Amino acid sequence: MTMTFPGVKALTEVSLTVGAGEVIGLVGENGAGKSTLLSILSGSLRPGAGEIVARGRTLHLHNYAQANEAGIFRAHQDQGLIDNLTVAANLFLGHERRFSRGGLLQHRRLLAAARRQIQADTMLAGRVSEIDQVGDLPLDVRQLVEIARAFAVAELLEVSRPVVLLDETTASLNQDEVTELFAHVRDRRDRASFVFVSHRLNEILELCDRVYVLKDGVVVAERKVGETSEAELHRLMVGREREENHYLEDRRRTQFGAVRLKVDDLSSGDEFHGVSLDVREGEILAVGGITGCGKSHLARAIAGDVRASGTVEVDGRRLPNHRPAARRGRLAFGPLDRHAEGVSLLQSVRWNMTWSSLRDHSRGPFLSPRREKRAVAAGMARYRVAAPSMDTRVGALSGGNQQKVMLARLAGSGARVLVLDNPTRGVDVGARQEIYGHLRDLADAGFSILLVSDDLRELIGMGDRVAVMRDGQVVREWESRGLTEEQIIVGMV
Amino acid sequence: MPEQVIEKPVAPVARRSGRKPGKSGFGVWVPRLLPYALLVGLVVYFTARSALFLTPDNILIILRSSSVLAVIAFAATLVIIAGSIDLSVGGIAALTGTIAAYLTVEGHPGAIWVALPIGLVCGLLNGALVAYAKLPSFLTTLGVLFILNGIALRITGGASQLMDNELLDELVNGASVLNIPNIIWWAVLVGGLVSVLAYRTPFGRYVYAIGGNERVARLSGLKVERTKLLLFGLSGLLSGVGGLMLIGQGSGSSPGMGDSFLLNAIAAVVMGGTALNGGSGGPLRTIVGVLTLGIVTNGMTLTQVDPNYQTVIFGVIVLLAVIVTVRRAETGVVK
Repeated sequence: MTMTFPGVKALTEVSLTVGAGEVIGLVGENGAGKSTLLSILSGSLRPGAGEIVARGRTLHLHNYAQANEAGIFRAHQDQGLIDNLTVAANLFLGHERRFSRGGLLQHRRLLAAARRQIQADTMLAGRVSEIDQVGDLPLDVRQLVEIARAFAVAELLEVSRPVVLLDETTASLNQDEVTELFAHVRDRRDRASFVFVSHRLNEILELCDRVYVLKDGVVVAERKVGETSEAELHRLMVGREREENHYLEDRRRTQFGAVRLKVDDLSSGDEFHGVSLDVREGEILAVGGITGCGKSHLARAIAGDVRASGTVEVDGRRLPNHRPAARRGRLAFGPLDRHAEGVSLLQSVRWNMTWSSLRDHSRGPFLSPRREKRAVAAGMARYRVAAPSMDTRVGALSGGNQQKVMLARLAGSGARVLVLDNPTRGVDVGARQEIYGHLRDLADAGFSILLVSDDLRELIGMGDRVAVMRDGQVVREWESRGLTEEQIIVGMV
Repeated sequence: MPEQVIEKPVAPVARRSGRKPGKSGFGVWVPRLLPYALLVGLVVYFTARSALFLTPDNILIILRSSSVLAVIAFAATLVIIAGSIDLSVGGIAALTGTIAAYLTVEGHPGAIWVALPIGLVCGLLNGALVAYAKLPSFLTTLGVLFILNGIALRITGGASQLMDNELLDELVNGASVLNIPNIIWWAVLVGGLVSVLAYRTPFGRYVYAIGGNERVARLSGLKVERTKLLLFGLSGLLSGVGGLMLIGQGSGSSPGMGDSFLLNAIAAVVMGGTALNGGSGGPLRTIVGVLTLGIVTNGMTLTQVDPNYQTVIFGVIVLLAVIVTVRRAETGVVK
């Protein structure tokens, strides 16, 4: 199987081939053109020039359904599923005709087919039912459903050797699930080929046979996995060597001030209970744990987004329960799901940056556009937001830049305590390190940061202390110096 | 559900120096100017068809007949920017107008100002139901609309009321400045205040934030519920103002006098380019929508279009205006 399409606009003369049974890695920074490439392959974008050839046949894809028929399937990064439909409806979305007779949908046949798919799937069996609503599922399970859909539709259409595009599918999966996914992919190699996009280079090296490196819309390198290394890929992607000091460990602080954020005996339903922790001035407390351990829910409760019992104090002042507005100017929260909750995609960089601090940009009761613009320009320069102007829609920026806009808002809100849930999720390596730098700067400026993360190395690299949650409780806490990933994993499971 | 964001090579990066903000290409400006072009086109057309159209008197007639709609549409604009909708604006105008007329007829011409607090209370009721009871604004305000219309009918027994209120008559129909009827000045004043509120105050920005993404607004620490409550309250208050203008203009109330405002206000807002999804647009744009509607109505009467066709043509113009103003790229998924 071959796919070539030289001469695409956002991409320039990109050619890549996928052999039968091959697993291809695709790496590049955000904005390098990976998603554009996948969109073209899956029929949702049209190339400016060039062609896609499968089994010797040139394809003219106008939509995703046609790509499916040609044997190409895509598991989206996130939000590829429709929340208010069931798992079964999502699995066969767009292919209902195959379950219809006389124009009427035969629900029972659809449900049965979905059940068969779920039961045959080692990752989904037992975790999800075909009648669950997708919106009620946690992010990682949704991702697994998304992957299952690619295979389910391939089977339904009787495509013998599908090409499955996995677009950052591991970003919302935990360690165990990633391992399972990889086993899953290896199992299917005799029947399918894969294109795997990930920001985690170690995963690429573990799973793939060959890697293409995209930079600014051009394939800058193609490597056999055995002949390359994480360091080399990193250098090819960003054009510089991955530093030893990835998390800027040399900027770790040794002196901390008084306790800023104090959480005492906080509990919330079944999600977590009896959590007490504190973060000092200038300190970063990293909180880890497997998905479902309650760490994200804890972050939300501290931010006042969900109901909880117990107390949350900032600088000795108790914050009322379940009221985010009462935290403005004291504690700011950067949620996990950036697109849904972190930034408003259709609105400008300027607006997104200043919502929490408009009083500071006002004269009397009126906004002062001059002050606001000055503050936004300063924020964009400070956080190195790459955008054509402050009036650009945030949705047009890359993930890393969106995250920086959010960070600028949080830091500018007057709050001195930040609660961040996976601030580098879906952010490319270069921007990720910039964000680490910003967090160090904020700590130096006296901010207290509670950093929830799924990335073990990030926990150790960024945290001054690391706490691990399991089944809704904080089970261990360490000073991060000398801490190893193994120690954390032991605490997590 | 947010649109799938496609990674593009992030357009020219302005890290060092950069282009001036707001300096955008031709392609950005054409769609923005289209509503104005439609307006100008209509003016040219009607001027060619009728010698009476482009005369100072007729222009004042158009403005005067658009004033009440303008005030009500300004109120509706802010609600729509916040991603909600207020269907009760016409109902509030009808009720407050009816009560004020009733009080005048009963011999309390000075008591008409009670229309304003009544409008405010009706609006706050909407706001409380939407913001705190978490009811969808469409259904809430639809229910309130029925209730208020019913009460207005009950007060008069379904009859029209003729009144003679000198103060209101002077305030609405007098022409104390530049020989322009006061009613137009009132609309201009309300438009100015609402615009300042929308564009130049934190409250206005919060309204945009809530319409853009309510979750983001809430997590940013904005007082979402309170903002919505006040917003609906303002909408009610301005509808009360509209109610007074309405009875001042007509020297009395009639049943169903607010009915046409429900859909015309929403049409005017959307024709101006404020998206029903919320988060974009603004009161200044609504003026274009209001004027387009006023010009079409007036022009069709002048050119003696069969009244039975007028509604059809009106509908076609509304569709045209919406087609040229809805900025699909900005609104993402259209519902």
